Amino acid sequence: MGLLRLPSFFGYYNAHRGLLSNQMALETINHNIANVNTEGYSRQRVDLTTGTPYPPATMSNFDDAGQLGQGSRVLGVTRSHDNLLDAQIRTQSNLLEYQTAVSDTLKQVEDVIGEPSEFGIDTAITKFFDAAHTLSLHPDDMAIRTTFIQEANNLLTTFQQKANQLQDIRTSIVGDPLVASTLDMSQSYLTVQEINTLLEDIATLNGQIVQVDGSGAMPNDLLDRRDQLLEELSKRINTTVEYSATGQISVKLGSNLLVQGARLVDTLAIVTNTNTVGPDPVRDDVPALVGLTSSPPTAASNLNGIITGGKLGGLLAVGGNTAGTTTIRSVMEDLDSLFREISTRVNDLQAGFGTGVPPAPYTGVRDLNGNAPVAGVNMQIYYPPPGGFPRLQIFGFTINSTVLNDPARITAAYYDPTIPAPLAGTSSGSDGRNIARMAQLQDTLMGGLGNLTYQEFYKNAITNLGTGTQNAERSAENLQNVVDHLTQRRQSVQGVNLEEEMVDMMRFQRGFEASAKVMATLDEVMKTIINTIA
Amino acid sequence: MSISRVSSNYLVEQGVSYVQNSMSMISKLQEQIATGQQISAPSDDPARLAQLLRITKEMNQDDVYEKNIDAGISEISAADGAITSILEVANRARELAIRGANGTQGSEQFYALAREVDSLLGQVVQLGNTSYAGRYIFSGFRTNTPTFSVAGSNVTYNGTPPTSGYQRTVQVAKNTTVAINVNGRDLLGEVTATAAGPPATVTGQAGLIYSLTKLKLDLENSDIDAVRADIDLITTDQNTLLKNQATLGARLNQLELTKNRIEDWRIVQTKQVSQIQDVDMSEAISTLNLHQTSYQASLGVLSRILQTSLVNFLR
Repeated sequence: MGLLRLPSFFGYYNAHRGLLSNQMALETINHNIANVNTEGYSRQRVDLTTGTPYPPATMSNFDDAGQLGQGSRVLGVTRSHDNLLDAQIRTQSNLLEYQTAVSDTLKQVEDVIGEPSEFGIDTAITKFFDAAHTLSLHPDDMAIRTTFIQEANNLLTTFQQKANQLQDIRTSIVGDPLVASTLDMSQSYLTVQEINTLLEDIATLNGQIVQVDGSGAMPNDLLDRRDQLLEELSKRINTTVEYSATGQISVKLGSNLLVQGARLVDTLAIVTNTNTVGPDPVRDDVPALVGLTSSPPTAASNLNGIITGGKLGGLLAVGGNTAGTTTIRSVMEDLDSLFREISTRVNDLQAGFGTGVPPAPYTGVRDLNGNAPVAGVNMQIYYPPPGGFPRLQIFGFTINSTVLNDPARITAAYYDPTIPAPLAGTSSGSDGRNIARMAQLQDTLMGGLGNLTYQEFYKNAITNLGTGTQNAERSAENLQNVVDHLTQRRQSVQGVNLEEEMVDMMRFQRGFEASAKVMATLDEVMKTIINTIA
Repeated sequence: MSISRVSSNYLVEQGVSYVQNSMSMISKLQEQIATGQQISAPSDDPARLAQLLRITKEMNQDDVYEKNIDAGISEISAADGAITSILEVANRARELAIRGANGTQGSEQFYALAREVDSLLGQVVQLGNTSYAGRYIFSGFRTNTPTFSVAGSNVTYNGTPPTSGYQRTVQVAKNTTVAINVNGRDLLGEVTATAAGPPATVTGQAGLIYSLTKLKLDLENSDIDAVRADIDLITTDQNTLLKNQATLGARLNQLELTKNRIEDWRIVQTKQVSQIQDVDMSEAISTLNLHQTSYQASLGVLSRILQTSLVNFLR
């Protein structure tokens, strides 16, 4: 029979280790409970293992009972975390925030357009043509003439009001190149600042994590914080995260490196696109350009094309000008085209030329006093903006104030050359035939609008807006469901369950008590031995 | 979805999100019930909004057409009445002409007939100057000018000549207009010069005014043969008047039929608009009750979850 020689206080140390292990576990539970409501917190677990058994394996062998355990020891504190779930959530949140930004903005656009409503453009158009019909029946009635020109003015102001409100929305998102300092107050600018702050913080955290890692500990809370920052970043822009073998991460936008480990390589910059100021009402570039601070963006070279997700992507998309998508600009252009078509025809009829030339045998148009329209005075109802006007034309139209103040100047009548002297030229009184033609514009197919009537064109524009908004809303809803589902799974992995912690707390408390009891018992044994000898 | 492990926060978050869902449904129904409208923004239902815009535009246009039709009906009725009165005068004049052509009259009787024809002429001119709603309806476009003016024995037409565009029209449907007036000179003729004769000659355009002027002069000349010829003139004039009246009658018919069609169609369109846009109140309110109940239930569940914890059961 072999004798295993134990050191005298062998048991004390084992009990002590037991106490320590249970105490550490309790501290970790303490930490978990304290952080039950902390955003992004992953619950932590103490990893316990057995101590190295005694004696160690050597060449000298004892004919004895074998190795004796040396209590427990703490391997480390690990967090329950699933990096794959995180990556999935980042991807889906990115898409969700994009659609949310788009749908929120388009909903604002819908509010401005305000259809169906009595105060919308459709009703204004109807009222204008109604007034034309009435005028054609009573062209000698000054009150009815006044009403007609006021409805013409109302039509213009309704269009302009809507266009201005839409421009305001666009400015609040991507700034207005014609007004200094609007970019700095825009949502895109603020989002870029947020992104840059996040990049800085991630780089800093990377540095701290490396330091802790290097000393052999697990920087659990720092890792949690970094994961949270990465998620916030992905909500704003579609960056990619790459993990290196050493556990360090790099953050890239496309192929552009932004953060590598502890180093903040580059940040984002956003500038006003000065290339957008031009008189051509069709071309108008994206008002804001995003690029790297190291190579500032220009109209020719910028990163707008690769920012396709996140809040910034959504804002740039809906505030930009991509053909075939519903943007604020596309709605404004529709209003612009519509009003220009209306005003051209109305002006032509007022002047009696172009599309407004009277049918044979009539050779001109006349106002209430039998006068032909005079250039610079009453040949137009709507003055278009001068050439070189820097905005969409809709913003620059004005009503002819001469005609507004003197409705007799509206040319309701035809000039009939077949009427002989002494009544030559003018038919007076009830000739409203020119205005009757204006009233018929409401049902005329306009080539410039793709062979649609005014209101059909408007209806199509509104329907496109509605569909675009609906699509964005539905995508956002679907993505929200996906994100919710993934978040739930993540919570099930890393969330703290108070009941679980309570039970564990009791468990480790009992363990601690038991180890303490063992310590006391061994102490008694020691006392007995000592007392026996002494 | 069954989850094997549930964190404490998750139960609460899930409970809150269910409550939020109920609240947003209630909010949407609230808006619908308060406004009575199903569609308050294009994205609610773009296809049906397009339909709605189309129908309301058509209804507005139909309202305008109806107004036009009413104006047309009123004026045509006035013209019709005037022509009826003129026909009565023409009948009387014809009788006088027949009597004059009889040959058994003495010069005093001829003189008396001539005086009566003169007064009939005056009535015709007055009827030719009929005005409705402040307009001289037989003047073509020159409705602020009296249609006929008398100077001596000349009766001049002052309106738009029938050789030029004189028809005033109203639009009653998309590409349909209806003329509502007839030309005074075509209707009643004109006298630009006279010569007492005998034989009396009258220059101008044929018509009742021309015929009566000639008749008066012939009677004053006791010219029986000329008076006999005048009877035929008056017969022709009566036909002209009847023809014009028939034209106006046909137009009146067209206007009334169109108006009836518009009124019938309006009923259909109103129903269509209501189907698209109106909220079914009873359905909405009962759905609202349903959601309110589920809202209260989810609040109840949430409060229970929040209160239950293992801590309550330990010691």
